[in-house]
Amino acid sequence: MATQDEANAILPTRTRRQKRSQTATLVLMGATPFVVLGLDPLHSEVRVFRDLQACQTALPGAQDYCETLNAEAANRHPSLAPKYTSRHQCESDFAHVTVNNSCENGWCSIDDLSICERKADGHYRPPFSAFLVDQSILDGTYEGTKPAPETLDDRQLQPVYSISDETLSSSGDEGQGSTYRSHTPFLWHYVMANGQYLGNQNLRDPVTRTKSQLAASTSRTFTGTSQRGGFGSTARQTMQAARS
Amino acid sequence: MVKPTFSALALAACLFTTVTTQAETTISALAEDLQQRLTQTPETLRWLKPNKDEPLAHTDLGIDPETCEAPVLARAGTHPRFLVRCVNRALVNFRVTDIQTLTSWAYADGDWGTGQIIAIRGIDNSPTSRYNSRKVEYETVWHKGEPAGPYERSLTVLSETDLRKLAKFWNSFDTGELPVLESLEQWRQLTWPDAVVGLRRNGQLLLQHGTLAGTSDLLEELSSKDALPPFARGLIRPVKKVWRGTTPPGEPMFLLHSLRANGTDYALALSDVTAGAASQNIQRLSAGLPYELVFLPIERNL
Repeated sequence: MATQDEANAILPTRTRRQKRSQTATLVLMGATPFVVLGLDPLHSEVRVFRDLQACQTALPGAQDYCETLNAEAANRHPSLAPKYTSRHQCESDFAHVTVNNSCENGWCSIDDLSICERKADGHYRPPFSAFLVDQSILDGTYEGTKPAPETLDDRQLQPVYSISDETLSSSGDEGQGSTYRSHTPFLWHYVMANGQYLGNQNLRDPVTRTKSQLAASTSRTFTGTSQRGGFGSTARQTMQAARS
Repeated sequence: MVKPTFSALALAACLFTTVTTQAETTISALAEDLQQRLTQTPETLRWLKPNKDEPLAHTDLGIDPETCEAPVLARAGTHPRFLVRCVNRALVNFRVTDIQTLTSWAYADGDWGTGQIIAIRGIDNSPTSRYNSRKVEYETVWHKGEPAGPYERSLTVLSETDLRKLAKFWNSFDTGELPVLESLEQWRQLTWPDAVVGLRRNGQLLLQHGTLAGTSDLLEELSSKDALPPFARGLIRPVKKVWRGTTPPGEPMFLLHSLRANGTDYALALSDVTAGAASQNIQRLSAGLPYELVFLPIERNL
């Protein structure tokens, strides 16, 4: 099984050379029999649920199970979420509008925004805004299999965060004359606690990621008061890799 | 640097209070006086047509002052000025037409000067066919000199309800509340996110493109005691729409009232500076006061 470091080392290479290296070809050839059989040891398919209701819509026969999955993801949120010593820096990465209509048409409520929250440890964290569940767990519910959520590892169940489009699209396009390029706070994207990009706000379909990408690292603490945190940089890189 | 003495500060405070109180008491009193003149003794008043210099009586113009809306302040302080909108029905080319006039009335030396009609707007109000219910509007005739600005233009198209709300606002503005411009400086010291154009007393936000980083700092400041003086509904920043990209909004001002006319949002605000006002399309609505009353369009970049 590839470790996190190995995967991180492979990812940029794949992106730049577009999987044309001999090594990559051999790896793909080696994985082909598993894929044909529907057994991919390197990848997992996950579903992202924006909220409890989205889960219950997808699993009409397992409404209570959705509640326990959501509750367990919320339990994991404080320990997995990226932490910031600066609220400004946290908001720089994560703050965005969640309810577009009211904010675009006029004055909007603070409840229509997703902004960072301060916890007892004094650090700022993005709010827990969604959760991901391994597709195989969801498939199992149709056969009546409902493993206790607390027994699922982080690759199978974890909180998901929403990052502003501004953060993902930025870098050095400010300050050119009287106008500058700017991005809307009305667009946002799903990311994992480790910065792994999952999809934009309209994400509905399952997402396939390598197991190492899905592994939740221990919560990272971002210090300082700079405009840009390292989290945004990670999210940008993984978004570009996911789209290539 | 010369430090002001206590007595100098006290005198300044007294003067500030006196000027403000005078301005406050005269807004509603003058509005009422003008309305009474219009309704009770209109024959003592004279009007000027747009771009003409012959004073005319209301009977010459076909204006029935009874139909006029309440006067709305257009300039506070020295030489106060009010706007009055009237609508009279007339036959134009055998068509029933509503003729709307917007007249500016300046008060000087204890009396009302000649009313300058700024705009004449005609709306064909004849019965329409069931296939075409749209009202035909004639081209508005504008006075080419002063006063004419975004404020006057917006008042020609403002709904009756909003016009009455505006008049009510101005009448309630003279409540004896003293503008506290020092607290505006505190708000200017904060780093405002580029996305935040306005902030209401209740925490509501008016947004445009840009980052929201720093929003919590603003909301935290808002929740502190005496964050906003009683007369302010919130804070507003001038912003101008650009074709490409976005311009960050300007310095915050105290939001007094907002209105919407012809699809554009406008704000009445109070500040102590109007630097760069022309570039931001800001219109001054005061003179000789220790603060500036301004009118500005809110053209968010979305």
